[in-house]
Amino acid sequence: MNRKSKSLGSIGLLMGLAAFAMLPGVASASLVLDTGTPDGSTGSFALSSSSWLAAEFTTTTAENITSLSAYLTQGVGEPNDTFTFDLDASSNFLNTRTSSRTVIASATGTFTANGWNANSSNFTVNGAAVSNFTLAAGTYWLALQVASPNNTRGLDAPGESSPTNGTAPAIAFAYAGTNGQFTENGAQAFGVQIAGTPAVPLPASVWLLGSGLLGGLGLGVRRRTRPEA
Amino acid sequence: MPIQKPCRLATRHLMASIIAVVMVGTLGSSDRAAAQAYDPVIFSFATVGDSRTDPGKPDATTLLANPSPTTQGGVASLTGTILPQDNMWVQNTLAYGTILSGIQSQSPNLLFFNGDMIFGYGRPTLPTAWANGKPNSWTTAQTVSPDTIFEYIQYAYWRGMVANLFLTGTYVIPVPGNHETQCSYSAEPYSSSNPNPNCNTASQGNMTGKTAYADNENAFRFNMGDLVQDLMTNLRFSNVSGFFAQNVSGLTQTSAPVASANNGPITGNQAELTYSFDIQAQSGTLLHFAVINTDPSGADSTAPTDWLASDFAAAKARGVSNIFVFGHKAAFTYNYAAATGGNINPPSTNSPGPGGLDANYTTNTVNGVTTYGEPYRNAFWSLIAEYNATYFSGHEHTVNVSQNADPTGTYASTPYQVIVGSGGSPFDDKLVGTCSSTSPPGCTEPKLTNPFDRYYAWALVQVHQSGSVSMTIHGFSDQFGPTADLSLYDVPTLQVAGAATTTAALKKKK
Repeated sequence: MNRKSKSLGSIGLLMGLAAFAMLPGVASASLVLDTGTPDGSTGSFALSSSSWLAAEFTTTTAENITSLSAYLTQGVGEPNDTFTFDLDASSNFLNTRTSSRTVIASATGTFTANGWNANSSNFTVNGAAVSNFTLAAGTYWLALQVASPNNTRGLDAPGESSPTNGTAPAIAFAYAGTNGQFTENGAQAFGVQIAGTPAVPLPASVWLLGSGLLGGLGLGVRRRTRPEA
Repeated sequence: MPIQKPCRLATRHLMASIIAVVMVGTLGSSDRAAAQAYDPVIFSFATVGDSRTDPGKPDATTLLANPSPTTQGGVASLTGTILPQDNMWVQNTLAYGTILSGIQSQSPNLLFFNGDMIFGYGRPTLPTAWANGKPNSWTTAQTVSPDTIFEYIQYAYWRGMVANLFLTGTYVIPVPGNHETQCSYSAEPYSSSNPNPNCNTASQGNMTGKTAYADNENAFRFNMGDLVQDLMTNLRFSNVSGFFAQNVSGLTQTSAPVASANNGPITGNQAELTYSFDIQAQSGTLLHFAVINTDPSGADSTAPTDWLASDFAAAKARGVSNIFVFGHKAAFTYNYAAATGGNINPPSTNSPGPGGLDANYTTNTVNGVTTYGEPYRNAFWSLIAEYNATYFSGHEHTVNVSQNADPTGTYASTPYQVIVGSGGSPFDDKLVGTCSSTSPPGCTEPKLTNPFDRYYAWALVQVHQSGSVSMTIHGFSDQFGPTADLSLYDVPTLQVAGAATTTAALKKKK
């Protein structure tokens, strides 16, 4: 096999592998939002039925969301206390009461121990339970909310002095008080993460996979018909 | 045989996988350990005081700019006016309402309100035709004083604000404050040049300041007595709180404090103003609660220490594990003005001077040297130390947690004093006016001694299954920001159960 055919075959194989890696559900997970582990330097904020928190973020590509996490400590709550993650459309979020918001997806988080508390593969989208969902490119708010004292007497969310902390920082933070209306005024950073995988359209990946396989096949044919001297 | 390259790679991957599995396993087990170590809460109570505002001197951050004709509502301003609603009923509704909502979210069994729920400070005299808080055999000859109307509408507004707590499992226990029991000759709507005629005559013994009157104590009983009586009648206490009040004391004049050496020269009826009760939180955990009037008529700025001594001894004989005491005035004034050179020691001409039970001091001048003593305060705190109790108070419009030794040196413990007079009243540490000629050079305002001095805050005390007692302080800034855990003041172990040790015994042991 000459050098040219070898390199052609390698390119085809690489394209095939790339296409395989970009297939939906197979791509590696990344953090769409990651405000980092808070250092607690600004104290701890209460998460209760009268005190909610939220972070705004942007994703430039469509993402398959696989898990949501919040960095929480026990506060006056208990293990197995629950709270809700709500993903909202940003244009309706601030200065809007809960009843008027557009919730894209929600999930129930369960506090287990101090640190990151995640919810994976258990989301509600349009009233249906799903294991993951696609978030289109855009700007969103992720809110941590508690419906009643039955969920928790109060978990703490340690604060972070740097609003740009983390590998995928939030654009902004907000909090809501007794009226359930979020505001950025006076809000501070806290720990929250969204994990997902890029959602590549199927036709493009299939095309890439096909071309890679064809390249490999072509190399095999050349090997059989032109044995090396 | 040497390991081939692919084999070496595979071995590395295998090792990495094993390490990762072990790490994840370790993490998981530590999480489980944390969950298993959790000590469940079996009983909890919240406490705060001082929600009234001041119609003449509201906190600057509670003012609202005049509404714009083109936009709805006023916006926060340091130069605007007080909300008409709060001017009429003299309450910081936004701060106190937010606190109540936060307390409601924590779902405590009880809320102790440490006094100054109303601005009061009048002399709410009642005609003889007034009984059980209502007009009785009314005739046109019967009149009600303006002070009575002023105070009663404030009581009613406050009762309305807490009414919802009873529907969500939190019973409210009232503690009298000086704004309820005292008349001030110059307080709004009066002034030193236009004094309150009801408490400004020599025969009434109040030409210069603030004095507690039986009329004011009657008004407290009329407006709060049902909440206290329910400890005994139990029309709703157990349904709301989930527990029965036991061994209730102080609901009659004979069982309440009277004048004595350490109670002070009390003259009025203290029934329903100073009282106590037990709650059996679980088998082996009997909690004792004592509410005291720190401004009884005849004995302003005192604690009924002799009454408490008898009450605590009886509680101990019943086997109580923890004692919690609630009064309005602190035993030890917190020097919120320390950063600006403030002095809280006697005499009262110091700024800000003593403001709690330590304001009731004696003077002794020998050879031109004056020394001061606080016999009432010292006897009270020695008793608190003897029983390892915790004292919760208000009066100072700030939040502060401190441990204080027995001033008499008799007992070795250093009980906690928790000041939560941060329920909405104008903060003592002002935005402007705290720097003075005696302040350190470069004093710029606002100059806070502690970052939480201007926080609206409340305490939550949790009694755990193990019998340990923890306390957390929650609050929000004067800018009404997000609610935070003021962890600087959190106390993991508020009380250590067991008999108190005398200082002498401790020395002997060493």
